[in-house]
Formats: sequence, C-alpha cells, structure tokens
Amino acid sequence: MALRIQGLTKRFGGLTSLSEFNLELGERDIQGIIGPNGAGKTTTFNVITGVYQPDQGQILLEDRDLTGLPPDVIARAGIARTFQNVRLFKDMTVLDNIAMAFHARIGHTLWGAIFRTGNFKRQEARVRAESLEHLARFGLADRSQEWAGSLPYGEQRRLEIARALATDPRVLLLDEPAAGMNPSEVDELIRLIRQVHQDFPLAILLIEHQIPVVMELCGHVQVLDFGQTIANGAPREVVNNPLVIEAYLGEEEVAE
Amino acid sequence: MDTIIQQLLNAAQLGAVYALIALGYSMVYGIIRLINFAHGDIFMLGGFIGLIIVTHFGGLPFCLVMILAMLLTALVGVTIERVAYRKLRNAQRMSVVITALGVGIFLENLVRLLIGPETRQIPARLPTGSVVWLQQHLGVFVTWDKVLIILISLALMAVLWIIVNKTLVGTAMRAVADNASVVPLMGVNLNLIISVTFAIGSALAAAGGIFYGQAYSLDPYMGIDLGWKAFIAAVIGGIGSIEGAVIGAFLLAGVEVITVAYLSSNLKNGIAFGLLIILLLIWPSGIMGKPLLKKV
Amino acid sequence: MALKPNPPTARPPFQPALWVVCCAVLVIAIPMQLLADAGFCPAVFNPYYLHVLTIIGMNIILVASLNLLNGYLGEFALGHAGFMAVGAYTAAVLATRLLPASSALPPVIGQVFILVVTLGGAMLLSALVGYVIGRLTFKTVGDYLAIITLGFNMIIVNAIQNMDFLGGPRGFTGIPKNTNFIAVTVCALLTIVVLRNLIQSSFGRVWVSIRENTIAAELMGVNLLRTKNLAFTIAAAFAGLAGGLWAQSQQFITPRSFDYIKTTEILVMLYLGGMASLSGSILGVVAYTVLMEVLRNLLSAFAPELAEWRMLISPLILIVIMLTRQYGLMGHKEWRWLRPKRVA
Repeated sequence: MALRIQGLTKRFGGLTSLSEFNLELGERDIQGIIGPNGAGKTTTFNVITGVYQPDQGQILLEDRDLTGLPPDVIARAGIARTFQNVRLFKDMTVLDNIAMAFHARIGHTLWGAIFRTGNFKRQEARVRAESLEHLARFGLADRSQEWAGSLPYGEQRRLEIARALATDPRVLLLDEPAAGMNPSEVDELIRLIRQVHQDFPLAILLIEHQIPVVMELCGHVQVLDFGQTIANGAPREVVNNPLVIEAYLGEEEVAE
Repeated sequence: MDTIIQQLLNAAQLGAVYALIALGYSMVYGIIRLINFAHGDIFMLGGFIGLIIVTHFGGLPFCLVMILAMLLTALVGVTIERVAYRKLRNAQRMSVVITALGVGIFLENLVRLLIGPETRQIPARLPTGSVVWLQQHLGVFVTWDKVLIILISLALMAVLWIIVNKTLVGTAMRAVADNASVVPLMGVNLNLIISVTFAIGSALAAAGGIFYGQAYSLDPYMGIDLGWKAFIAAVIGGIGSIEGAVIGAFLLAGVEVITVAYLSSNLKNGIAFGLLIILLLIWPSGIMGKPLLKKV
Repeated sequence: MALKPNPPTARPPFQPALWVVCCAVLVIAIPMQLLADAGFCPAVFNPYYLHVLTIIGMNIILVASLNLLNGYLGEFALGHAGFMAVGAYTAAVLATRLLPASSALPPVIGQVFILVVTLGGAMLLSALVGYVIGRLTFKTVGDYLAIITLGFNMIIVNAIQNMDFLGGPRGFTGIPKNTNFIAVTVCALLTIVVLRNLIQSSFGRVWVSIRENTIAAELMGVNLLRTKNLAFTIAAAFAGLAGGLWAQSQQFITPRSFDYIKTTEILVMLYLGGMASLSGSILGVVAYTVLMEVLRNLLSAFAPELAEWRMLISPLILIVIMLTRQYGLMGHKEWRWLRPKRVA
C-alpha cells in the first residue's frame, strides 16, 4: 500500500472542512477525488502534505507514519504535489526549477560551494545533466534557459509536474491539473499523466473538477461534499449515484 | 499609598500619549496593512507645530492651539500618504515600508535643520496648580495639567470610538479594514477613506505631541523612541484594533513606570523591545487581534 | 512586473573572469595605499580619497551581505547594523588585548596576524549572535520579521550601552588602527567572491526559490527554518566583518552609531543599487558615497551655511527611488564578470 489514510479530520474554528477521510492508495494506483467547490478537496491535500496539521487521523506512507510531520519532511519522505494555481519559481530558469529539487538529496557542503571544490563542481555538473535529462522527458529541454514565468500556461503546468517528479516521489498529488485548459490541452494532459504513471514507479492521487479526466484515468474515485465522503467506487458507478448528482446540482443552483 | 497613586498617574499620563500615537499605527495598519514607520515622526512634528503656534501666537487659548496643530498635522499626514505612499499601494509590500522609513528620517532631519537639535518644552498652557480635592481627600499632590492631559486624551479616544463605530465614514473605514478589494465595488471612495484615516491618525498623534511637549520635552529625534514604544503598544493590543491599541498603551506605560521605579531606567528600552519580541513570537495576534491563517 | 533581468540565453561576447577583475582591483589598490603612505604626489594619492574609498569598501560588505537576505532570500531583515555592532565591539576588544603581541611580531606579518584574529573573531561572534536570533525570528515572516529584527538591533545597542567594560553609552576609545585601504579592499573582494559563489550554487537556487514561492519550496523538501537561517547567519558574519574593519579604521565607536539610522543608510544604498544584484550593491554604494562626499565638499566650499542640508538628501533619494525605480539601478541584473560562467 503506497498511501493509507484513516479517519483524517480537519477543523477550522467551528467548521469541519474534512471529516473522517479514509483512503487506500495501492503501489501503482491512480485514484481521484471529486466534489463541488468548497468540498474540502484541497484541504485534503494540504493536510496530507503537512501544510495543515490534522485534528484527528493517521497518514501512513508505505507504513511510515507521517501524521503531524512538517511539510518538508513529508516531501522528502516521498509525497510530491502540484497546485491548483500553478506555483512555479517564476524568476528562475526552467532548468533551475528542476535543479533546486536535488538540493535536499545531494549533500552539498557550504565549504564546497564557497571554494568551488572539485567535488562541488562535479556534483553541480551531475545535477545539471540529470535536470536536463529530466526536462527532456517532458519535452522542455529546449526551454531550459528560459524564465519559468515566461512559459505558456500549458507548459507551466507540465513543468510543475516535472518539478514534483524530480524529488523522486512514491506518491504524486495533482491538484486540478486540468484547470483552465481547453479540450485539446486536456487530452494532452491525460496522455502526460498516463506516461508519467508508466515511466515512474509511483501512485497518483488527483483532484479534478472535469469529470472526463477522472473517468479516463482513475480506477477509483471518492466524492467529497462539505468535508464528508458521500460516495466511493469505480468512476462509472459514482457519477450515477443520486447523492453525487444532488451535490453537483446543488452547486449549480447556488452558482445561478 | 501616596507614591503608588503618583506612579499610577504617571503611568496613565505616559499611557495616554502612547495611546494617541498607537491609534494611528493601528488604524493605518488595519486599513492598508502598512507599518507606517513615519508615524512617530508625525507625532514629533505635531509637537513642534504646537510649539511654534504657542511661541508665535501667545494669546491663543490652549484648545485653539490644539485644534490648529491637529489640523495642520493632519494635513501633513494626508500629504505624505498622497505623495509618498499612494503610488505604491499595489507594489511589493516592503516598498512602502521603506518609503515610510525614508519619510521618517526626512521629517527628523527637516525639523532639526529648521528648529535645531536642542530639547525644548512647550511653555505651560495648562493650569499647573495642585488638584485641591485630591490633596484634601487622599493627601496626594497632583497637578492639574497631568489630570487634564489624561482626561482630554480619553475624551479624544471616545470621539474616535464614536467616529469609527457610529458614523458613516467609520462604517466605511471598518469595511475597508475588513476587505479593501470589495469596497470600491460598493461605491465607497477608497482614497477618501484612506485619507481620512491618515488625517485622524495624524491629528491624534499631534495631540500626543503637544501633551508630551508640555509634560516632558520635545526634540527632533523623539519620534523614533516614542514611535517605537507606541508601535509596541499597538502590537501588544493586537495591531488593527482600536481598543487593543489603547489597552496596550496603558499596559506598556505601566510596565515602563514599574521598571524605572524598581529596576533601572537604563533597562527601559531593552525591556520594552524584549516584550515586543516575546509577544510577536508567542502571541502574534495580541490582545484583541485576529490569528493569522496560512493560505495555500 | 517592470523587472527585466538579464535574459538567460544572452551570451556575453566577452566575459572577464572574476579572478582577473579581483587582481586588477588589487593592482590598483596596493600601490595607492603604499604611495599615499610614502607621501608621494599628495594631490592624487591623498589620504582623504583613501578614506572615502575605505568607507566604500566597508559599505560594499554591508550592502552586499544584506542583499543576500533582502534581495535573494526575499526576507525583509532590518537589523543589519546590530550585527555590525557585535563585530565592531568584538574586534575592538580583541585588538586592544592583542596590542602587546603585535609589537613582538615583524611589522607586516604582525599586522596581518592581528587582522585575521580580530576580524575572524568579529565574524564568528556576529555569526553566532545571528544564528541564535535567526533561530528565533524565522518562525515569523513579512512585517513581523522586519519588526523583530529591528527590535533585536535596538536590544543589541541597548545591551552594549549597559555594559561598562565596553565603555557603555560613551563608547569604546583607543582602538589601534590596524586596517588600511588594502585590508578593506581584500575583505570586500572576498565578500563579493564568496557571496557570488554561494548565490550561484545549489544554496543560492534554494534561497531564490524561497523568495519566488515559499510554500512550493517547502513542499519540494526544503527545510525553511534551517535554509533561511543559514543565509541570515552568513549575512550576520559579513556585517560583523564590516564592523570589525570599521572599529579598527575609525579607532572610536559608540553604540549609537549602530542604531537604526545606520541600518537605514545601508538600506538606502541597497535599494539605490538594486535588489538581487551584487553589481547593484557595488554600484549603489559607490554612487551614494561619492554623491554624499561631493555634496559635502561643494556645499562647504560654496554655501557653508547650507552644509547641514545634506542630511535631507539621503532620505529623499530613498523615497524617489522607491517611487520611480523600485528595482534600483541594477535590480536583478549583473555585470558580466559576476554572471554565472557559461557551460557549453
């Protein structure tokens, strides 16, 4: 089991944003979380990655208990994520966006950096080569010297996924990867996620608003509404569940 | 008993001045999230404007001197916001803070060049006789000016409270403090509200400056020290909160008076800043403030 | 954003190596000091010019190291003068204690030995103080960090005022004059080289990533507290170095000269030069110091009664820069010799 979550609960003041959330994500699974706006989807990711402390519950990554640990420790333990609103290091080059991911893993010494020792130069050359190779897998190698902030939106999304994978994670969390994309970009994204799943030894959990993406990719879906899991199962069954339809319809009425 | 009451009144007088300054910090922070580092120097400027009025128009009654000085200082405050801050409202947050630092130093050096670096006092315009009633009933010798400074300050704070809570302009100010981005949508003139806030804050600081120049003394660099103290008071109370600023000011003044009376006057600043740091680290929202939430 | 950094693809046709530039500076600096000492052609090799250049050197150390925090790391620290004070007083104590030892050694070697010990001590102690303060303050960010660092600056100054063995508020007198223009130049060049190497290493990448997006950096596995505090400690060490040089060049220091007015002066030069640019730090210091000295000389020559009005210039520069050119003269841009070396 890659990620096992039991009874995860998060309250803000009197409001329970996430209640008794359970998840079993197998080694090579792709699972989805859907739900109307404000259902607690992003909160789930924030609690899993340690941005928020859970009030109750347990998070196990390959049987290691990560509950209550700080975000950087959880990231190094093997959980990587992307963000709903892309969070790149905009004034850094595309290459450096990837290269910074190696910092935590490569034991650079301050001494080596200050005096540019032979060892330091070799490590830097290796980081550079590996980063370029990594970028090439995502078709971004020829962009390596451009500012991350100057890339078109679709490539920024792709770079963000590439950056998350550069930390060598066991579990990848994708927060609305298709947000703001047109249908052809969505198709490309679906291909990319499949490719990633094939090439990297990891499990994927994704939040998505666009039902087709979930239908296409996920073997299992959970539906959240007001922090509660209201349905659970294969995508085809879930979208026909009356509770789910009601939750989404309720949202439409509010929107109008 | 006698010394305790004396010390209490000293603390109340100092606290009143701190509160008059702290309110300006808190209001401005509440509305545009700016630590207006120049505010301490506006307080200093207010004191000197009062001094100039008293020296040149000796015949004016005290209340007119105060009103005139408060109006002029308010004008300066509004001008500073208009010229130095407004353009940067949507820039990086720290740009305005740095500009405010620059404005503060500019004011200090300007007053120093125009009036000189010497310490001055505003000639006594408040009655300095003893409060006979207190002397007869409690056996305490207290001068009228001290009592009046405390009372007028409290009255000014009451007026502020009424403006903020009971008038239309106050409602708009509270709305801006709550969420500045939606206010223009509701037909409120954001610039006007911000100007009014700077005007009120500066006027209160000017009153503090005059009181301070009457009770203690004025010099061009006093704004640094007192400005910081008042800022600490605002943080103790929870920056952005009006009631908090007043409570924090009296608390800080109490701590200082006790430090000077029982420890050493050299430690006064060290203790005040130590208190600030400890508070920010373990209780950043202060007495009346709201806790901050990390947003992802 | 109005910001236009050097385009990363631009290939400079000619990129002088850093060490060549450093050697060139030393080739000019060493004879200047020696000729001035010998009294040769005082119109050119004039002690006053050397004095101004010495101040420029010390200010470059201060401004470049603060740029590490405010420009690259993107955290607004306001207490740089406090660390300078720690370094200045440490060096002052060490220098006066070591006075007898230095006379026992041959002249040049003795001078170098004293400098290494006093400046090393100054850097170590300020780094230590910086580390402890950073440990406490980097739990906060933004406005809070600015206030707390300024608060610590005030506390350091207040603590020194209350220490009798450091001369208290009256100041520390009788510090031997161990530095000259050569020593300051060497230290300033070392500072620039070390900072450049760090900024262009994996450490620099991580610092900039924290500035660009703190949460994303943390979720990429960066320990924020430790990484930020490393930058803070390094910056404090260099502020201490500048303080140590300052004490042994002025020979007299008081706590008040390290209060927040000094911090603001450092900020003026930093913002004039530009954020996240070592070239900017050098340029900002030179432009500001030369401007102030020229004004001083012009005013005292032609309008002595206005000489004091110079004091208004520095805050005015700061305000005008912030209003018109927020990124300073060189914001995010570097001279060629400070840019990363191209890799084929």
